[in-house]
Amino acid sequence: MRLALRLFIPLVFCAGLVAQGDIYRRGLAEQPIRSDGISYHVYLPSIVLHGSPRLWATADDQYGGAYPEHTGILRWTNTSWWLNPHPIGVAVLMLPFFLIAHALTLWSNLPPDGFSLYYQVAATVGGLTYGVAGLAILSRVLQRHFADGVVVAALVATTFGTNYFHYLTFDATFSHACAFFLVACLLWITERWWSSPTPARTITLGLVVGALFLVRHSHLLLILIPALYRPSDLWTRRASISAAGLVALLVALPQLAIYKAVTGAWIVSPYSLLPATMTFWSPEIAGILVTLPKGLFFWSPVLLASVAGVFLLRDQARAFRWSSVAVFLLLTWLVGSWYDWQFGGSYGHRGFTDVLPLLALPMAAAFDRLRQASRPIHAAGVALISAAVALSLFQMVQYWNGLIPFQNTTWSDYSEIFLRWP
Amino acid sequence: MALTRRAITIVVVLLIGASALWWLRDPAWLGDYRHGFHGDGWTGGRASFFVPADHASVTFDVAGHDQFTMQVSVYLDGRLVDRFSADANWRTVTVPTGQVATSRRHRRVDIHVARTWGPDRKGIRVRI
Repeated sequence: MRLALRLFIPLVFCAGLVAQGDIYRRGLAEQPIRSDGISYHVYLPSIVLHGSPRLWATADDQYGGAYPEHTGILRWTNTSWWLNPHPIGVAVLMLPFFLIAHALTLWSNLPPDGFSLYYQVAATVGGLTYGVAGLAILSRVLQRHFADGVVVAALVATTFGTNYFHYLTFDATFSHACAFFLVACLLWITERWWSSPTPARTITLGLVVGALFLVRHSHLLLILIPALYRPSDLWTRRASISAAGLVALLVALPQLAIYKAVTGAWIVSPYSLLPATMTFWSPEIAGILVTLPKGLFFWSPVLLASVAGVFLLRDQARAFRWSSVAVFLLLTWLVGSWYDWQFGGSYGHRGFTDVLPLLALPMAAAFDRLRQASRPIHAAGVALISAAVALSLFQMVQYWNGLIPFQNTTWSDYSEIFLRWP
Repeated sequence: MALTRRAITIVVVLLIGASALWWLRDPAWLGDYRHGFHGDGWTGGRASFFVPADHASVTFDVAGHDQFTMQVSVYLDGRLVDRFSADANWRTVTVPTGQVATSRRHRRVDIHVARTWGPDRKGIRVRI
């Protein structure tokens, strides 16, 4: 089992490369930098190639004056800067891949515009790399609490039993692989920081929290993970917490400076130019959790093990119990309150993909309990979990081939394509 | 022994990397590479294609939108070679490709369109 654990990460990376190659070779998707991937990416050509975070040069160079409507990037009237609804975090993380692509582009005499072939490859391989690195860190976290076999099962279920592999491959240029990586880092540093808050760990905690803010502002709620790990001791750690907060603020500063330049205010909703609203008093819960079109447990039934496992977390892993519950409930409320609670086009519900590392802990606890169950129960459980993972994987391939609609899937749509080979 | 194996691994990796870089400097597939074109032949704000370096010149036809004219700039390997206004009528553009020597098999032609239209940000039609 130790060998399976060691091979899992490189195998997922290789499988991801093969899947990405197949997706673009067969034309299942137009090109890697598309849809939301454009708005995450535009900072890089704007700043690295055109030397300005205003985004206008890329609008002129690539789109003849204005960004496509679907990007949601709109001009702020008073300043003429473009306001991007997506923050800079993904671009910051992707910078090394972009620079390598740019150097190779110049070397091959390809168009050095930030969107030609090598930039596209770098963006999708970069997303896969961060996603797989997130799995490697999650593996380290799980190994502290569970046996190797349980860790392998939890990693397989998280990667292939949910929509995570989809966001490592088909939509790798979205933010989810990067956010998964950072959430895995947050789990890892939370345990270490609480065991001993050395200056290096305090700085790392601040870096990770700041980076999460840069990737998606609402991920600030994930500070509940370190906060609820040992809530009664928070006051005794106030000096370290302040230092970590300062580091996080420094990391967030470039984004706040961009908002200040664009709008004149340091803190602004990046969606303020869009017809985006929150319906906090009437969130859509069923549609995002249990039923069509986007139910989390409908498309990823293996995550029901995470729900059961919350009550089975033992020993040191119990410290993540209340943060798992609180983050999941708050995220459900936030996602269900968003005006577009389906989150546009997606396989399953991508509003929960980022926090899968947090859900992997209780899932592993459930698998651990199953391991100790009687032989018939163990066999039945393994069969159920395997079926759930296989179904999720199969439906992902159906989605890639256009059988499952990007959004608004109805029961009629679903019954027509259920188990139909693409 | 471990040091020798590590040294051999490093040398092999460096050789593979150097070979890949050498191949990528002038790959044959560049001749078929198109960038920035929609499926229906329209460009976006920027489009690029490659032509054989051993030709003295290349010609292609362009036409713009029927509601307004737009400024089109043509670059060869990043150097401006022509700039004109395009309307809905097809016009032939000739790019002298043989004036400056190159050690590569292909030259890159970039088309920049100052203004685009529609939800897909379409620029001009190009017939190569």
